Amino acid sequence: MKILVVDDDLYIQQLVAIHLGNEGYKVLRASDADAALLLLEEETVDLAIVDVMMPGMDGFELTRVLTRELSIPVILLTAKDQLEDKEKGFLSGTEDYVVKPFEPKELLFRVKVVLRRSERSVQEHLQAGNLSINRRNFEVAIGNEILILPLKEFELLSLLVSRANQATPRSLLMDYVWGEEHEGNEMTLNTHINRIRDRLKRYGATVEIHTLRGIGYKLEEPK
Amino acid sequence: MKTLYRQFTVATLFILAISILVGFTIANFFYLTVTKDETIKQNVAIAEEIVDTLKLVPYSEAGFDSYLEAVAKLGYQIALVDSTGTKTFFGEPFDDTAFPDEARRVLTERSVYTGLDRFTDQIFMIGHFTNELHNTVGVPFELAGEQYGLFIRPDTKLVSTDIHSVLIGFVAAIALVSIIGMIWMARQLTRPIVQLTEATKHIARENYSFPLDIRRNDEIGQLSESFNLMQNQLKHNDLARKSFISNVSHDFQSPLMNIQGYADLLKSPDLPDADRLSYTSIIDLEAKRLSSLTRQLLLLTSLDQGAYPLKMKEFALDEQLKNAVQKYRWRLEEGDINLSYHLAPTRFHGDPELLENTWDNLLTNAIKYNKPGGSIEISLRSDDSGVVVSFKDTGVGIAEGALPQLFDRFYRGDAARKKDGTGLGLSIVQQIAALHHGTIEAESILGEGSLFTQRLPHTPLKG
Repeated sequence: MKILVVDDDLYIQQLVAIHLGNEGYKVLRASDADAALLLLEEETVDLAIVDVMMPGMDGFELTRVLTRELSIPVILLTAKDQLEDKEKGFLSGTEDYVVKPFEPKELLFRVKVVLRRSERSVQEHLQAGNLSINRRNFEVAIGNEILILPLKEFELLSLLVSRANQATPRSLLMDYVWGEEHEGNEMTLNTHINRIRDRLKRYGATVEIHTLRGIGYKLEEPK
Repeated sequence: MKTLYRQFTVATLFILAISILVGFTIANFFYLTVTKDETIKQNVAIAEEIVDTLKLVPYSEAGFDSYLEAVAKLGYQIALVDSTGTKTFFGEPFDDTAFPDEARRVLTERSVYTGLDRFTDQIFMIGHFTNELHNTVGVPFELAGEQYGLFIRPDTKLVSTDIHSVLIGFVAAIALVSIIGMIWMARQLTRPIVQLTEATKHIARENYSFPLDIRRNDEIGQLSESFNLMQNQLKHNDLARKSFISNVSHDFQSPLMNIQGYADLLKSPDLPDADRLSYTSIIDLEAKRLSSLTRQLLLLTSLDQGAYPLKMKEFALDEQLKNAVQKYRWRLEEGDINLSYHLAPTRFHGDPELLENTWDNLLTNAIKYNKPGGSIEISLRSDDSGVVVSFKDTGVGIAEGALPQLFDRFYRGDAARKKDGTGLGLSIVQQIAALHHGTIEAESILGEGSLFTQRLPHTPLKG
């Protein structure tokens, strides 16, 4: 995964680059829009993190070019905590928006979400019984209640729902959520599934997750 | 400095002088146009009557004189002039016995002399009252073939009777009493002003407890009442400001001191990794506290400025809450917290920026003071009277004793002291609720969780 960081403040550029690097992303850096566009003539990236306030072409303009012409998803950074700016940001096509001062962890989470969104071409909406999943907002709806689940639980549930009424092997679930190089800890999977079951029950979901011994799990819709 | 007191006194005396002058002029005018002629006519008539009577009394030097003597005692000054110019006086003597030429005509041309007329060139009537010979009326008469002139004038000493002195006393008393009264009034009026001036000087020196003892039922009384009110308000503001400053300096200084101190410790080359980690996380936490303190203080100060200009507009409240939740997804993820919400689609008229701040505060509190694996429930209900937004968490909760101070500025519960709480968040939430004419309530059970309920009425009056 390659990420381009565009910010005229070199310390922030470096800080963001270090945190992204620690997470295993490959980072390209540019100090202004022109340098960024020049860099993109030779390189391709999966995501760009762009500062709004920059000399020359500003972040909104660069975002427009990146999203419309190069189809690169963008996360905007800005010091201005203003509603109008947010609207302007989303109008220029940004995927997300982080306000300075931000927590590095917040930025990493948002990077993860945006990358998942663009990477997995699963259906945006999934439905089973009275449960529906919105993969764009990462929301689960049961009846009138909306649930925000931890990301891993959300991914597990959406895979199970997309394969509703059929067996899903444990290995598939593990690969899907923890990636292929995971250290096979099956206990973690059990814990997560149990927590999902509790939540489904608590909010009155009509679907149930059954354990298939030696195989995996199966989400069943009511008959 | 021209004191108000002096000005007032001078003005009073001036007015008194003017009124005397005007009164005198009017009296003068009246005397000259009406009274004087009457008096002259009267005096001439009296003189003629005397002369007529003189002719009747038996001819003898003694009788003649004694009669005139008797008339003089009735209140007249009399001068009898014979053809040789010899003057005989009866009654009170004249101060000036100069004999004008016109008067001589009484003897030479046998005409009536009216001395008072001579003063037409004199504007003031006082001249008419001087005790002088020319100030008389004269009539000619003949007795035993001898020509005489009888000159009389009423004796002002005898004329000024008791009633006159009573009147003079009356006028003098009025003048005296009004002067004293005015001076007293001036003193009464200026005294509270002097006192108020003194009080303002004390206030300028930040002494807000100057005793202002002015009990009056007029504008000055109102002024001093408002002044006392202002003084109390200033005293209150001063206390609030001082405690605010001491809180602020404490709350800014202690994290700065920690950052400085632990950064210093980090310089040491042989530091165990565990310590290094613990020190950096302290620096991290304190920097965060400072950052949010600055932001919140800025907001709170601007909210404080009396009439905060609310930017009211209608917006989807449920969408705003959803966005707030999205914004803190990473912190939910980090804290392993499950969140659910039930938001009725609601259009609301309010200041979206301020309300977003409210949700940020309530939501971050619910996350910050939650337990790992805990949950948060948000609900938005709406009816005719308004909207109710509640945030329920399964967090550490708040001790019952801490609930009353919860919304106070800089108040931090035990939990908040351990986290990067500033003690301003809920105070801001309350202020924003008040600006929207709404309320915020907190319920909590220690160790089990808290419930914050915000009620906002529809169509607030202010806007």
